[in-house]
Amino acid sequence: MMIKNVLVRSPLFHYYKAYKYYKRQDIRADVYQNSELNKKRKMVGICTNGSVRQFEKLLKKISITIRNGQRFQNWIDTGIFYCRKNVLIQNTSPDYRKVIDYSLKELKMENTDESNAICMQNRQVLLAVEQYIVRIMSEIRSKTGTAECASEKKRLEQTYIYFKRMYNEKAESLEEALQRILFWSDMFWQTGHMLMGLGRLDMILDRFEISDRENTIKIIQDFYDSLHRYYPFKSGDEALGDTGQIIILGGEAEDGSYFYNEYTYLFIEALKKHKIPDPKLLLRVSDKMPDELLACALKCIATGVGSPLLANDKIIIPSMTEFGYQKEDACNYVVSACWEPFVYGKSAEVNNIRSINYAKAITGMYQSTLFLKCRNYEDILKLYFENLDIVLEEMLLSLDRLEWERDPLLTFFTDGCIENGKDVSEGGAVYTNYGVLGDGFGNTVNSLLFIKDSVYRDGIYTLEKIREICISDYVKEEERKKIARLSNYYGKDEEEVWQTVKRIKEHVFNKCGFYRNKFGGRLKWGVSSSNYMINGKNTAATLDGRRAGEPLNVHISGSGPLPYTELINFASGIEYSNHGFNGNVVDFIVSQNFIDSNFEKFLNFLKLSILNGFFEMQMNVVNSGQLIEAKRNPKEHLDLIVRVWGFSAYFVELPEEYQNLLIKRALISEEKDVG
Amino acid sequence: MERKGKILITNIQRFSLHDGPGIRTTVFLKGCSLRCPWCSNPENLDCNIQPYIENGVEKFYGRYYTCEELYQEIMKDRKYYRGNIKEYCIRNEENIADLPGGITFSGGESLLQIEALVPLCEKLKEEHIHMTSETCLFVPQSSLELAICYMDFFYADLKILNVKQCQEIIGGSLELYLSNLNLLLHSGKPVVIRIPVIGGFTDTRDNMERAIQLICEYANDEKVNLLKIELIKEHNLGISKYQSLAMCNAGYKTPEYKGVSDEVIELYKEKIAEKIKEKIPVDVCKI
Repeated sequence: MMIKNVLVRSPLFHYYKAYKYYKRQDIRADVYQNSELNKKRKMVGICTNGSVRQFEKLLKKISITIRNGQRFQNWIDTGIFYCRKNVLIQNTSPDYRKVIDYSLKELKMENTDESNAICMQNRQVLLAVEQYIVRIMSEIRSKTGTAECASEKKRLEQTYIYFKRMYNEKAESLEEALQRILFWSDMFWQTGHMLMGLGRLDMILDRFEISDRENTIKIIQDFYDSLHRYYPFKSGDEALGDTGQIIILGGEAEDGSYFYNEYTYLFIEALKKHKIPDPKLLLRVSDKMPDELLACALKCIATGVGSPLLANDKIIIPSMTEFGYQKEDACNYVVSACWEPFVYGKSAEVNNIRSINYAKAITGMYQSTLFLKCRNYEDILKLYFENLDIVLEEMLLSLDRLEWERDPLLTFFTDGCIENGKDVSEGGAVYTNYGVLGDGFGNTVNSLLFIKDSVYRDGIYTLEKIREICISDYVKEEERKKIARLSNYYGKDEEEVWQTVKRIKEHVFNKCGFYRNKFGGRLKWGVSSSNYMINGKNTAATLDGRRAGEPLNVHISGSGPLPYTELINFASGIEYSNHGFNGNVVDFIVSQNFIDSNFEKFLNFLKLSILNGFFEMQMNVVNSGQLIEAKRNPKEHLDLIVRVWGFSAYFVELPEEYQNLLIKRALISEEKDVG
Repeated sequence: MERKGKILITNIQRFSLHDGPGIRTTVFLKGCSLRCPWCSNPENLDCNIQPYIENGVEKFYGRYYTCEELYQEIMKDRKYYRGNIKEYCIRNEENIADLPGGITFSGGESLLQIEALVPLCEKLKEEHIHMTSETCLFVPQSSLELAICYMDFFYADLKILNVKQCQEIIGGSLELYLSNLNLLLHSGKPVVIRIPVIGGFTDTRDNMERAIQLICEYANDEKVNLLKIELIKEHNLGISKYQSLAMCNAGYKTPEYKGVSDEVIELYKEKIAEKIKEKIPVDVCKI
């Protein structure tokens, strides 16, 4: 893992990533090859780690790409990259209100205190950006001369004005504001940041009047296309689609009212009509939201585009205030790339810094010599917690070793840095907590309750026998199926399942609740994870019929078919306080036909589920037949979108193991034989 | 096992959206008074626990529940039994969507175990939980009267309306059916009539005409609270259950469905609508 972390930060990795981007041979490569790649560029690394000088140098070297016929101009020079020594704070959403509502001139005026190092750093950033814009305007001017028709010319002239106005004016229209967001967002990607979200766009665009609804949708769709342009480049290494470009919509305000506006609808409508997996949407839901908005979201979800993910303010905001965020800030939460809540514009929090592999402690437990000496379920739990402590201690130690890369760009966008006189890498932000994910939580609950019932209550198995079965990695398929059937607990709304969840969470709190990082920030955790596949590969067989190397349980989902109400009841019965709010997603599969033919009832189900109290919810709107057919004939299903851990992706582009897992889960949800 | 006062159930289906208003929990009661050759729930015919084989493993259809056990199970989704109105005795089909979810007793024939269900129904009624019954109406009148006391909504089947065929094909007394239908429709409780359209059995011209005539009579009766007519197209989703039961020699004949065309169903629907002058909505339901 450590070697991987070092490699990921090295120029070699960026070179490899860019190379892969150019040389894509996958099924949708044609789509990306058409997106005007700069194939002739040499790979250039910019050294001078983390300083503003590095940022200045970078902006001077970027090859600017202006395209004819585009509403928005955006580019990433994929051949140019930062060299850095430490880890960048990323997986975050800058508050772009700063650059929409203020001109560069005004922003410079806010950074005049020469005694404040961060003011000076911000000023240098702004000066470098001003110089960069001069180059951009020159490029646009020369491109305007080659425009083939009057409309193209007019568009480029308009874009020229937008860039020029950045010096002295705040944005005046939706189009201008979105162009600014694209410009600054691309600078984050250009400086090596990954998984960069877009923030609360409906809120920050609120002041721009909508005169023509259809035209506004078209503008937003063009904005989506611009964000999507460098999709393979922006995607993480594990799977295409993991870009983290998330747009947050709606949400409860501090006074308890629900904020939404016409843009909330239009961002959803635009995605519904223009199905692409990236960017993705998250809708903050509440019992105070209008039914029409929830219906609008459901119609979008029903298209199979994979979003919006629903985040329940009734549960999330109190969990955040209990943790220590100010109420006003908690009400202004966004999420990291997928689902981890944090405060918008005031945080330098890395929310998926590590993952707690709960299942690893199960394997440690049954491999221990003490396992066979356990006389009852309490002994088993004690042994499990001893093994979990090893996992937790290892994780906490690794957190203390982290060093952050100086980051002038994110520092400029983050409140608290000027007041504290510190860069985000030095703990300058208002909030500096860390967040960790959770893997194999479901496998753990299933394994423990299997022992409780099948060994100690029913006497179907002995500890010796189940240990032997697991160490042999379920050599007999029939035995594996039997244990899988007997250990199907997670997701059921039964008291003993909740109690087991509660005891594990309490143990984590007792062990990690005291943690303070070097900035004084605390640790938060959740039971969702993006690592169920990767960590599954390194985890031996668990006591729930899962073989060594197989994927771990996905988020909050059942290992067998469950009524949706039961799954939501289960998720709503989990306590998310005590730092346990770092992403807890209910994840289930539902067919489009089912939603369409029961729309009103399904909508009611969502409304009542919000009241019931789920934390977050996402749906894969597919069926097993579609997925099997798409795997068999990928060329016929190039545009089939699925939801992976916290992002949407084209099914045919996913690694085979992810395809297989989705097919298996769809078959289970349809109560069909998975073979 | 002590069975007195217990209820024999084959399945409790949560998040059920097709068995009544709102989000429901459907309780499938074991045992039926008829033997319809097209039945898609053969596991609910016999009123005893029955073995069957699934994937080579012997399992059993049916489990006895006390009212309390059943109450605990069906109330797990009580948070989802919410609607827009508190008065359940609606008189308009459009108001069905406003009714809350709740519990649906299905089967088999749900009313065969109504006496055992009374303590549960009392409790549910106290808590204002909406209750629906799906019934073929081939039950003693006393059972129906009891059900009318507790149920808020009924789905009543309309199958074969020829005395002889009714007896020979499905094993029921048409006289009893008609008497119970009359009782139910005049009870004031909201009723939806469900007509299974089955090739070779209920789709004959004669049977369709009799059905239309019967519906017409009630459609014109203002005292009757008939909300809707639903035509259910035949399907073969129960075949695998016949096969699983056959492995344990249950003795049921697996249905040979002749099929019903969409045109026949649509024509049937139009005829009913025309005759009743669209006083009551008619829908086609495909499962």
